[in-house]
Order: sequence, then structure tokens, then C-alpha cells
Amino acid sequence: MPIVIENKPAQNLVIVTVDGRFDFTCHADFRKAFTDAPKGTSFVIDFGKVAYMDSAALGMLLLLREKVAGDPTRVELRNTQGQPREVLNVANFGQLFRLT
Amino acid sequence: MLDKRDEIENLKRSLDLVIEGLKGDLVRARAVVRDAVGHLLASFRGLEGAVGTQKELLKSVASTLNQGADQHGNGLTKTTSKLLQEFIEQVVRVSGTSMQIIEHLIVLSEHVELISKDSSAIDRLARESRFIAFNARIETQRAGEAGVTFKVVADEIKRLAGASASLSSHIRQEVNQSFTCLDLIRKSATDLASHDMNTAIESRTGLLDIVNRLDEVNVTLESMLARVTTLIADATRALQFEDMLTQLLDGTLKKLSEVAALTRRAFDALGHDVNGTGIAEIQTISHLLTELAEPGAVAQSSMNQGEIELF
Repeated sequence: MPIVIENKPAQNLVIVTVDGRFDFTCHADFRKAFTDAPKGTSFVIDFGKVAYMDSAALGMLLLLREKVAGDPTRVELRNTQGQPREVLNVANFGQLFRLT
Repeated sequence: MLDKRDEIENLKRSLDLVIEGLKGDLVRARAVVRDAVGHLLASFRGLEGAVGTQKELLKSVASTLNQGADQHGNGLTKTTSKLLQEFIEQVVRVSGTSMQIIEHLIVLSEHVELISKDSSAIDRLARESRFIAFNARIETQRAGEAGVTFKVVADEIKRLAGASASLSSHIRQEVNQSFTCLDLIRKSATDLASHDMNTAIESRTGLLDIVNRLDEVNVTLESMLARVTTLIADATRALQFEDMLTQLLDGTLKKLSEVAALTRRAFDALGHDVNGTGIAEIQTISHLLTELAEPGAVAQSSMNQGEIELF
């Protein structure tokens, strides 16, 4: 399964782990992570296992940003490396999200 | 038979011939050196001019490509870099907007799904109405004459049930069409949202490489051209040896003439010296020859030994 969603209600946190390609095929699962999340939820997107991402993935991250009302502290893009890291850099997502 | 005086005269003529020959050689050597140096100087000046032009061209290319300093304040690499960044921002913006459209399409699909469910409810109502109309017709037949009026009502209910079923069928067709359209829009939006970002990354990396390489090329060429300019200046300075050589040759010519004159005087003194009285003249000539043996005006033997001393 390319996307695993881990809810941590006690911490008001949702951790989304993407595996392999992060593109439009992940859309349905990815939106599940935030459509039902209560207001004030923070999100961690774990890129540790992502080998490739395209602009659709960037679009999904922008949707998530809308969900948190543009608060950069509430979305962390964790373990970014390789091609995904370069895509995030080239798109200047470091200004919109917390990249670790 | 030749006497002593005749021999001396022969010697003097031979000496004159040798001296004139040597003088001619020296004059020709001076002319050859002057000509060669003239050509070399002209070549070096031409080279210096070409290097200067090359330098200006390089500056102009560097200014246009790398420094970003044309009359509009935009260099080629700066403009390309800006254009690439705008393209990337545009791709990201389109992807974000497309994903928003897909979100709206999902909501719209849910509403159309509700309409589809409503249509099924209308079908159910139509079936129930037809069943009521059917039962009403049976009852009106049992009632005989008294049921004629109810028969009209039952027929009307049946007609309305048919109209509802037809309307429901029409709604279902429209809903199906809407689903087809929504699916097409979703696919288009997906295509719009999905762009491979590797090309953008490669372009940016390539552009940065070009800028870095241009910097390196500029530095290398600048230093190389400076080196060539220095070498040309050194070579031009070295060509001043022509002055030294000319002075040396002129000095040698002068000395040669003096040596010839003194030798003639010596021969004369020896030819006329009967009682040994010419010894004083010989001593004077010897002294003058010793003075001529002193180093000439150009004393140094290489260009590195200092500035040229003029006569």
C-alpha cells in the first residue's frame, strides 16, 4: 500500500507515510488523511520511502496547506531526500512548509 | 725585385681591402637586424591589438551572459533563470488549482449521486402509484356504474405514474451523462496537475552549471589574456636589443676605421724608420691601440643586465 495513515488523536496529529511514487494515484488515500481530521490537527508527511514525486503531489500538499489555513508549523515534510527533496527545493516549498 | 717599401704598400692595400670588407659586413648586419626587428615589433603590436580586441569581446560576452548588466539590467542567464523559475511557479500553481478543481468535482459528484438516489425514489413512487391505479381499476369494475368516476381518477393516477417513471428515466440519463462529463473533467484536471518535475530540476541544474562554467572560463581567459599581454610587453622590451646592437655595430665600425688608420700610421713609421727614430711614433700608436681596446659604449652582454646605455 503506497500510503499509510497513522492517527494520533492524543497529540492531535496525523502521520502520513508515502511509499514509492508520490503522484496522483495517491490522491484518494492522501485526501482521506485530512478530510476527516478534526480542526487544529497537525500533519507529518514522511518522505523517507518516497523515490519519486511529481507536481500532482505538490498540488496535494497545497491542498493540505489550505486545510491547516496556511499555518506552516502544522505541516512537517519529514525525511525529505533525493529527487523529492530537489522537487520541493525547486518549487520553493521550504517557504510554505517545515522541511526536515 | 720588390723592396721593403713596396711590401709595406702591398700590406696596406690588403689591409684596406679587409677593413672595407669587414665594414660592409657590419653595415649589412645592421640593416638585417633593423629590418627583422621592425617586422617583429609590427607583429607584436598586431598581436597586442588582437588580444585587446579579444579582451573587450570577452568582457562583452561575460556582461551579456553572466553579469546581467545590459541596458535593461538583465543578462541572458539571469533572464533564463527568472523564466525557468516563473515556469516552475506556474506548474505548481496549475497543479494546486487542478487539485482544487478535483476536490470540487468530488463534492459535485456526491451531489449528483444524491440526485441519482432521488431518481430511484421517484421510480419507487411511480411503481407504487401504478399499483394503486391498478387496484383502483379493479375496484371500479366491481362497483359497476357507481365506479365510473373513480375509473377516471385511477386512469389519471396511472398516467401520472407513467409520467413520473419517464421523468425519472430522463433524470437517470442526465445523471449518467453528468457522471461521464465529471469523469472527463477529472481526467483533464489530473493531466493538468501531473507534471514530471525532473525536467525542471535538470534545467535548473544545467543552468547553474553553465553559470559556474562561465565564471571559470572568464577567470581562466582573463588570466590567460593578462599573461599574453605581459609576454608581449616583455617581448617588445626585449626587442630594444636592436638599439644595443646598432650602437655596438656603429662603435665597432668606428674602431675598425681607427684601427685601420693607426695601422697605416704604423706601417708608415716602420717604412720610413731608417735609424730607429720612428720608435716614438710606434709607441704613440701602441698607446692609442691600447685605448681602443677599452670596452665600447654598450657594455652589457644580455638584456637582463640592465638598461641600455646610450653613447
